[in-house]
Amino acid sequence: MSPLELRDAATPYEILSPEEVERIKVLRTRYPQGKSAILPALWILQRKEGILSADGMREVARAMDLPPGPVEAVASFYSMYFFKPHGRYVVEMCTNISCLLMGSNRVLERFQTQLGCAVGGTTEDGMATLMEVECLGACGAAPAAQINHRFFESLTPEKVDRLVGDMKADNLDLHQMPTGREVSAHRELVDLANPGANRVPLPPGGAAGTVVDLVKGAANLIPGGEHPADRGYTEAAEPPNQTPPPERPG
Amino acid sequence: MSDLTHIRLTRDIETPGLATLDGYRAWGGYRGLEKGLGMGPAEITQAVSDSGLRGRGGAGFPTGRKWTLMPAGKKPRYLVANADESEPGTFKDRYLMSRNPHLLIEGVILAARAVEADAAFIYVRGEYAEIQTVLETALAEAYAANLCGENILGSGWNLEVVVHGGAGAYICGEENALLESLSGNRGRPRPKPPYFPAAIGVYDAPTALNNVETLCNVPFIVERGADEFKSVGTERSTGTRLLCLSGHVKRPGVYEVPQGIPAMALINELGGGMLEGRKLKAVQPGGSSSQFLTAAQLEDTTMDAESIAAHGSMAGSGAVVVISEDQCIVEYTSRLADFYYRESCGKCTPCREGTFWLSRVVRRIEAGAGRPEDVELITSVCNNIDGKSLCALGEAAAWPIRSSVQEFEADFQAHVDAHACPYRDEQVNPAISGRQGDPEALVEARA
Ligand SMILES: Cc1cc2nc3c(=O)[nH]c(=O)nc-3n(C[C@H](O)[C@H](O)[C@H](O)COP(=O)(O)O)c2cc1C
Ligand code: SF4
Ligand code: FES
Repeated sequence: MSPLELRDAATPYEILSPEEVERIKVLRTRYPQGKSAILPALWILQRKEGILSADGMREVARAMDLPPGPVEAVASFYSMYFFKPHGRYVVEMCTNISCLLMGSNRVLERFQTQLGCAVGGTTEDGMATLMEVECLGACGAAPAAQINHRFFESLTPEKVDRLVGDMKADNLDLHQMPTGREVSAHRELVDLANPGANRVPLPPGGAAGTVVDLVKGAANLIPGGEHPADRGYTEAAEPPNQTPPPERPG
Repeated sequence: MSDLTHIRLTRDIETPGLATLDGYRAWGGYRGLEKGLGMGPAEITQAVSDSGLRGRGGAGFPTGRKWTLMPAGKKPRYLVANADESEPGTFKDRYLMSRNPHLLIEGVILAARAVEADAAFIYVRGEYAEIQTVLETALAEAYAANLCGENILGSGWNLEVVVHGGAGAYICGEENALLESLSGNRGRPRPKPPYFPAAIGVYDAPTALNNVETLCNVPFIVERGADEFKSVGTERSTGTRLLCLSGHVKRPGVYEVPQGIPAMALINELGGGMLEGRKLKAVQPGGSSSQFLTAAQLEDTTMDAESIAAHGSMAGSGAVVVISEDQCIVEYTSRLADFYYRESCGKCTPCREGTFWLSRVVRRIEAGAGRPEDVELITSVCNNIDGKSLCALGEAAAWPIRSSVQEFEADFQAHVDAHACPYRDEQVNPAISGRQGDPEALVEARA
């Protein structure tokens, strides 16, 4: 064995399970160049930990036979990877153009008052993190949000009250059809609550249910009241249009 | 009304079971592939060229020509489906893929055969997590039915198809950024020239990259032929187009229309007209990157690339965002500026710095702290981005914002003069303030 393999054989993985390491190695074989599997591999890590911890990313790099640098560089580029612990529910409200036209600012305000945390923040009890995001591709049913990657559309302040109530009771209906109408693709093929369990087996190398169920990240709940769960590498988004930016001197 | 829509891709799209292989076959699916396996790559490409099909992803590049630009015989080579769909206002690819994943898969396999690709990738934005699972599930059925993988339907031809999920970045819809992301790098575009995907794409190999809707048209073209495809649409914008209607209309949604229908027919007849008591101010006809068309300009605009361009905008991603008089256009423009500032990848100076300043200056005008010279400043910053940035995100930011200060200079001036947003400040404009963003009234009005 090469020195690297000797080292690997000796020190077991602490965060990734043997199946997850194997999964990453299978994913690499699906691409002409294995490095392409960084994104799916990071999703496996985030589904496991709820965040991308520094140690976790090092283990992903190891499973990918890559130095940690490229993995962390890629991870920090994308907005959907989290580096700080967050709530069991991650509420991502779109405030882009079609949603702005339909009153998303007021829906976001209602989320803030009902959840009791600022945009970019996490509730006292670590139940939910509230974020503002860009267009989610639900503009025809604006204003729209995603909670743990499920769509919640045509939102009004009243609907927010019900949703937050469900979240507080920890029984938010994650099975709900995003557009309310029967979406044929969903009912037969995909069990939304546990996306890994598809009704039709995935191809051997398939990235098996990349829906991130952030609830599993509960182990990383932050004690209530700590600083907002920003993305670590990127500055937390400034709240839109409320306070004018400080004037630059001169 | 009947000639306003022409249903091809969205035929019976809500049929339960359409997403399964049996459901899709019952719908008439995979006949194009079976016929295509009997045709050579050049023959398929010729049919697509003859059909006049142009890219639905935004640039409108003729699809047949794009495929012929790939250097002959250079191996390996790849086919990539762009399912990143992140242009604000756009939701057609999601509509197609979530209900009829096999249509995209058939289109991908046929296109891969036309360009003799060794593998095909479907790059799906990270926010569409469910759709990745739906696509992978449908792909598993396709593999099981030997429609892709080894020795497809006994033709001796092999094709691996991989669904690849992104992780949140508007820039990764741009073709070179997408290919960088697919290669396992940060999604920062490589310059064109020399990195034209047809020549140097993913893994530096020739790559054909097409939008989901573009590829979903290929089965029809191969099965029914170019002439039937061209039987609807205009001379230069052939076939049907999925338009995404959103904003202050009664019936937002995806409408499959023959290209060339009047814009006002889309809004008033298909879209059911403006929401109660709201008057049309303007639209962005092609998503957030397109210049504004005012109500007056829309009167004689038809929904095809040529007519929209003639009126000073672009067809873009087919997203028609309808804005009423009650909406503060400066607030709307400020949200656009914030979007492009946040999503700029920062690789080149004009866009990185330019979008930063556009975001700050438009925001201070909306906040009532605008300076008299700000409108001119915005135009000058846009001119310093347009044509000077490394990828078209620069233009995607500069064009709509410059168009906004030009078309609606009076609105911007009113904010500067009043040191407030007239749409929000009770004293300045009691008649209108507060009405704009009331979701209770807006969403309930559609229910
Ligand atoms: C900033 C930016 C974002 C883009 N986003 C998308 C997108 O989300 N989906 C898409 O299909 N094309 C997008 N495009 C266009 C692609 O670069 C590319 O032209 C298109 O996908 C090619 O496919 P087509 O020829 O079938 O249209 C974007 C372009 C730019 C400059
Ligand atoms: S134009 Fe903007 S998005 Fe494109 S490369 Fe330059 S900085 Fe990045
Ligand atoms: S603008 Fe909010 S979903 Fe598209």
